[in-house]
Amino acid sequence: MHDVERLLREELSRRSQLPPPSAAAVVTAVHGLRRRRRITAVAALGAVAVLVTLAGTITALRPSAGSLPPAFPPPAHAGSVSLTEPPEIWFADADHGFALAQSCLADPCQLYVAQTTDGGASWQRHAVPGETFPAEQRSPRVTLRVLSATTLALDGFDGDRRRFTTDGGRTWTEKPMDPQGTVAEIPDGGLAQVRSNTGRPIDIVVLRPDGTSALLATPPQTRPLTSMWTNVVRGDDGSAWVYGGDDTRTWLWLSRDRGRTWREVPLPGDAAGPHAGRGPLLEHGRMLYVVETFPKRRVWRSTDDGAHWADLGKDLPPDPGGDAGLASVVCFDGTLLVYEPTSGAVYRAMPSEDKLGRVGDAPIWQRIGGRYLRAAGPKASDPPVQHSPDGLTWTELRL
Amino acid sequence: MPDHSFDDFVHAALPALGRYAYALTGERAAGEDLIQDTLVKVAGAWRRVHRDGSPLAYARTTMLNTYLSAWRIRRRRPASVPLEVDWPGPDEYGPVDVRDQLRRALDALPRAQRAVLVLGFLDDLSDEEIAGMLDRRPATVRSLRHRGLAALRRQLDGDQVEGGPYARR
Repeated sequence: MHDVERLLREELSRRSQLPPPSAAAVVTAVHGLRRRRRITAVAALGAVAVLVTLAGTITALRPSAGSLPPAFPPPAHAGSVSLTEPPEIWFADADHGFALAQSCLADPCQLYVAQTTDGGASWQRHAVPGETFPAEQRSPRVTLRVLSATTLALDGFDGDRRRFTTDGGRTWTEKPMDPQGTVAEIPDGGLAQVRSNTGRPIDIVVLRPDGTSALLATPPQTRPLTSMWTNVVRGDDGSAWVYGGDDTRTWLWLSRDRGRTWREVPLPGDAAGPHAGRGPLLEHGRMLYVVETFPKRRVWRSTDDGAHWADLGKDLPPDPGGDAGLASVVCFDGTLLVYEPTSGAVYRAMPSEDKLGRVGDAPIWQRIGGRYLRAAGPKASDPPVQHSPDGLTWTELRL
Repeated sequence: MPDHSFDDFVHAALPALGRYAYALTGERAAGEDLIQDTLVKVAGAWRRVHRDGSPLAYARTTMLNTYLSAWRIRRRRPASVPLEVDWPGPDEYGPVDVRDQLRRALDALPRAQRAVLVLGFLDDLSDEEIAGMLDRRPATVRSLRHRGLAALRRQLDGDQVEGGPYARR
């Protein structure tokens, strides 16, 4: 067994000690490159100006009866607002959802929240006042947290700001992100996150329906968290799940009374070891799955809060190196779908079945709250993105 | 009077930027290209960056973004691959060249994983600092580091046990 971390430090240190290039040569090259790019840009702008002039002339010469100018200019050019990359989309239920969007016609870019109330058939865009970011940053540094069909919070990555709306993004207020006081339970319409504390057990920070935060009075008594998730996963049945780990093991805690009491759920196979990789699939609440890819491919299911686990993945093709991975999703009814990327095959285990069986070859999707989402581009992660209430009919997400 | 502040900045910042560029790319030529592309972008925003007072931090973040976005662009292009990967042959007289294996394994990592490892192991930055620089969440940083280290470990330990990738053919 090698000490990879020490070897890595040595290798990076060795690399970083290469002598830098001559500063004078770099300065000359940088100025030369900038000059060439400026010339190219001016030439391109000239060409655009000629084309615009020509187009204007042609338009002026065409008959214009019946083509009155619009009474009001459009609020934003339809093509200028696009989904963020990667897409941030969440449905509170099958009909009501939100997506983060951006317009980068000017620098800085403006952040938008797009809302749908008809299952994604149409979207209304609302600019988030004061929420801009430099174009070179490429995407906003906020997390979308959907609390209900009309309420959501945008939390800054740095923990410095929270923007909050209760009317689907039409009006916004600022709320403090720091927790104030304690609450006995995670309220209906609230969300929760794990906060790790150096050398101490975790805290649970509850986002209340009014946009303020508070500490949960009774978090699970864990060892200090050093890895993995920071969200408290909410099951479809109202259960709350905390998954994490330290340097010695990985653990999973469950509460079925909104966070008042917690119990530890035993994990199967290698999933309980340290740094166990992907977390369990918990969204269903009653049917838990663990998908292991290394050192062996195994797929576990429990229907009794982890007291017993059944291995469903015996027929999966082996992947001794663990390089290919497996993608997986739990459907609303508890059916598990597993995508095997080497063969492109999809395997399925319905709640009544005790093993995975091959059912098709299409890439699968992910859950985004009350709907499924998939990318329909040439590669699995490429746009356009599509959403579906059932995995059968898909609608392209167009803002 | 001409403004030489950018040129002065390049002279002062080049050792620090070179350190990152070589650690990220692992090659002198690619590292120098990365430095140049980064500085062209910094020069374009120089007035604002200089006024804000942290040009080196800006340049470092720009370098990381350039490095990561270059990966995205390169993914869409056909990549040239040697007909035969020139792994070292089995070494009958001693242990395999661990350093060489590590270098190859590191260069084979996805760029985001490599960037996290460079920031964490070269400068001992915290997950939160790395997350801020890469525009990712701390949990994502932890996951990227874990996956990167696991891949390196797998490569090294697997090769040691099985006699190297050459032996698998």
